[in-house]
Amino acid sequence: MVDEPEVDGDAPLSFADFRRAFYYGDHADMQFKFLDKLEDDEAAGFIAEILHRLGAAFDTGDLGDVREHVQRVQADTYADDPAPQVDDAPFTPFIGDLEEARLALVSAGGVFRRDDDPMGPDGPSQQEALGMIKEFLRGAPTLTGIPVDTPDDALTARHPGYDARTAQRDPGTVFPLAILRELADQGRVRLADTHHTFVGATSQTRLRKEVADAWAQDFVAQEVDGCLLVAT
Amino acid sequence: MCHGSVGLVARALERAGIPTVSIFVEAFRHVAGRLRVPRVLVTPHLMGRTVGPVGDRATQTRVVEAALDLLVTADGPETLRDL
Repeated sequence: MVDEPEVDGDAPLSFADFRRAFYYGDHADMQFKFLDKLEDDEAAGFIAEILHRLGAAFDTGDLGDVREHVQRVQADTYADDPAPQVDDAPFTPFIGDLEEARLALVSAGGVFRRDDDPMGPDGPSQQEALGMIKEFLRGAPTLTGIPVDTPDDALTARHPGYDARTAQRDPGTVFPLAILRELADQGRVRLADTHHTFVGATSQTRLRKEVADAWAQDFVAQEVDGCLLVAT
Repeated sequence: MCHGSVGLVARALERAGIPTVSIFVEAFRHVAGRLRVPRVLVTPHLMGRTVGPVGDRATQTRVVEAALDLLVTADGPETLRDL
């Protein structure tokens, strides 16, 4: 008589459960959360192709094919996402020379100074922020000011909608202030004294109705002549 | 989501009289059209690396320069340009 193996009370993990877990589940990964949107066979094909290309990359040392495949499936998957539509198309012409205009950088990438966390000195980590996605999506965004002379190594990032570890490694991926300073040193642009970030994963309604116009008026008061915005 | 947020902010700035240029990644190109964002530079980069890969200062600089060129040269609303 052989002892019966212990049966785990949990149901076996299905492939659908597995791929959905990348969307704020046990395998939460902002780079691959779109697996939640794919059908099982599409997700299986995607993963198999990634592994196939990874195998080749072991020999070539070139991850370009892997990156290209992820980028293409990301684009195809999000192309079907519903987004609000609007009727009007506001536009202000740029007048004058870039060399003379006060330019401000605005990034939705959740970058902030390490010594000035907008969520307080005990603000959540990137991993903790992922668990707070619903709070972020209900809340109104706040603007974080970053002085123009802030070096990249004084910056970090937190964002529940994309993998902010990338911006922690190199803020220039979403907040190219250092590059703008180089262009300013060359006399090609003029920069505002303060640049701005916010967390783009936020209530779209509150941003549209309560926040965006007030930010715009602040920028007018700061005599900003043009804005470079970066989405994440 | 974040691309939509940037689109809303860009629209508010333009209404207030401040010209804008927004950098989007390919995966969210459609948001530019639906929100009728004034000037958009679309980059062929992965989500979360809108301006360029980590440590690739040459690509990041090229993207910023292209965005600033679009800011200055666009002659009407909904001008979308690929890097």
